[in-house]
Amino acid sequence: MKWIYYKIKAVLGKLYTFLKPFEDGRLNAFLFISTAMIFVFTIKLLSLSYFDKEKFLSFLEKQYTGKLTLKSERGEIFDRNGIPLAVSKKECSFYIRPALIKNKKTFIKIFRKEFGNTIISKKELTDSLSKNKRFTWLKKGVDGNIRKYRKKAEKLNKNYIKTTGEKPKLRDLVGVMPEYDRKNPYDVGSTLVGVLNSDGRGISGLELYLEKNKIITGKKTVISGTKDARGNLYVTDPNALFTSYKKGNNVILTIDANLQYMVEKTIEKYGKKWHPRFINVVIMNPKTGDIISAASWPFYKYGKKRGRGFISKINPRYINTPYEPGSVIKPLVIAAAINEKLISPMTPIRAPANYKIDDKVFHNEFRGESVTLAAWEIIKYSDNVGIIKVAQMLGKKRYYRYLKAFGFGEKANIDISGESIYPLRNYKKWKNVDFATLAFGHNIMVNTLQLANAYSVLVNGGYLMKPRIISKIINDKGKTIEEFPAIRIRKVIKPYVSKQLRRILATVVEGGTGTATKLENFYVGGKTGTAIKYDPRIRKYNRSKITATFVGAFPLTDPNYVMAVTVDEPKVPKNELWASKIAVPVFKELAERILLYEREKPDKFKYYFKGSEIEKQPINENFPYKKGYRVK
Amino acid sequence: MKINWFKYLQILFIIFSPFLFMFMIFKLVNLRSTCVTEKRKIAKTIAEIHKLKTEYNELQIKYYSTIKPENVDRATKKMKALKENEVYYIE
Repeated sequence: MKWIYYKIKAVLGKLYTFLKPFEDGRLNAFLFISTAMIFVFTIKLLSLSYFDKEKFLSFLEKQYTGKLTLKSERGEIFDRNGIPLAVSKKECSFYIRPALIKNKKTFIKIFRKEFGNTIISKKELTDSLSKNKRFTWLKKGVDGNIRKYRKKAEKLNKNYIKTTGEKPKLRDLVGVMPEYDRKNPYDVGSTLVGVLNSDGRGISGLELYLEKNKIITGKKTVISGTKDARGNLYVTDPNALFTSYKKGNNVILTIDANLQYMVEKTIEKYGKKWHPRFINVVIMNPKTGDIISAASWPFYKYGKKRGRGFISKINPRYINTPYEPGSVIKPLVIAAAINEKLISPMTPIRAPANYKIDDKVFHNEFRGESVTLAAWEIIKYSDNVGIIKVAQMLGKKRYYRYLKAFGFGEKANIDISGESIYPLRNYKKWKNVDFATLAFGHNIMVNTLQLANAYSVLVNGGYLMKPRIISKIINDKGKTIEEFPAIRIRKVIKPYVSKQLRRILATVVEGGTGTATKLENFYVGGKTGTAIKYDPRIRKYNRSKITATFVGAFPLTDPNYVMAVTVDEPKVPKNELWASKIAVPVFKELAERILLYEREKPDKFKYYFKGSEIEKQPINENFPYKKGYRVK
Repeated sequence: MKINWFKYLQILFIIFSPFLFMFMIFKLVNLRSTCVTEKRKIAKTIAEIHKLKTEYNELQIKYYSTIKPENVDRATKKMKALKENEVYYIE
């Protein structure tokens, strides 16, 4: 290796002898070092002025220019009649810089002189002053004129600095900022409209959905300006005069706020009476798929303190809590079988007292008596054996196809955040017993909205509608930006099957398991479902835990409303653990109120004047099926 | 001798040009000031619209907080007592 060293040394020595201009070595060293420094300096100069020019220019620009970002105002949410369900209100938020205030006593004195004791109490002020932070909120959500408050705050700051002689780094020791607070003036629909967190962001329901899809949140407005030595920003652009907050779009829903209130009031009443795990109600227009009301008890009441269980109270359980529906599935089996021309409503179906499938024995509803029922009577008496037989006629594959077509096992794609469904198990994996229990609503998980939507198919002529909750999006000036028409997803059953099903459903209320729903002037049709729940603690179905459901439509000759009521685990005596005792009263009370509120025309009687007397004449008398094999 | 009228016209133009210039300047100043005034008016109107919107919003909140759905519920229930159900549907 040594020879390399000597070689390099010899080459460098020769080069130095060739280059050196002076005889004196020190002078030569000075020259070479200076040349090297000039070279480095030139490179740095080139880098600053040419290669990294943009980087340094933008750095420089940042020091004397700034941007003012205007926070956008959130759009409003209205019901179908224009009643505001969620609106933004401009309010004042006071901030304070306690770390910069040395003489707290003098500050409190001046503060009280300017603002008095009404807006901010002495306790609030002393609490904030004791925090020793550079910035903290003094009070948020103060009503009043922001300009007036700002002038007062400026006067206060000047007075304090003048009196104490202090020179704080920032002169706005107290300041006021405008903020938008969300208000719900009608106080309804927390499980539907949703709520915002303390930062003004949607955390549930429509508020979250609309924010995620950037419908309700306006765009941020950025205005550029120049900064002074203190860092204060001045807007120099003359056009900034015309810049204003770009408010988010407003949304008009299909919900009726008054009906929503009636629903919430009713389920709260029964919730307090029965103490169930939850009560869900969904009311739809079967012709359009419009959701008129949807609520779940327990629900959060706007304006109340968000204590324990708050998250559960804002949870839209009607779209995200699937459960075994029980007998409410039966009409769908009948509809499928009639649609496939396997049966007609009058087809006799033999229902033996005991019906064995593999190792399981199923019993009919007639306590040891083997009977023959017309297909429609299976629904009226809610007979399990009869419906198993009809399902067997359909076969596993066709039944699976129909369940899919009715909207089970797939999301309804409703415009509310948090929809969750339970997938439908493939029919190839169904055992014979599973298939039999599926006929009366076990081994399948559905949510309340899915049930309401499936019943809409039964009564609206056979079309599966897309559940619609947003009817229109309008901008701040009232101009329509987007309209959401009713969407027919698919035709599931033929119109004549739908008519027959309406007549069958009427028999349940006129003389079957849902007689408590019977109304004087209107035909109501529906089906009860009492599903015994599986208890993981005892590892079997627990008879004292049920999910009671009633899904129905009214006025049944031409239905405008489909309502699904789910009551989960009501705490009532064992003899009352039936859907006819639990879900039906809720349904009836609501149906009566809705018909009265909406001024629906009776379809059971026609009223007219005879002289000065009011007379009534029955109409649509033959609408419900009357003659069967059990009923003669 | 032929008189060059064009020369006199040039003199006239030279004499009047400062006045013309001043007139144009005044006109420009006037236009600019009008623009500024109008801009201010527009800004004022925008502010007024915002103020009215805020006021409308506040009134709307107050109105619906006062109406309350309880009252609507109570009012529609009262009709039931009057047998509205039977009278209303007469054809």
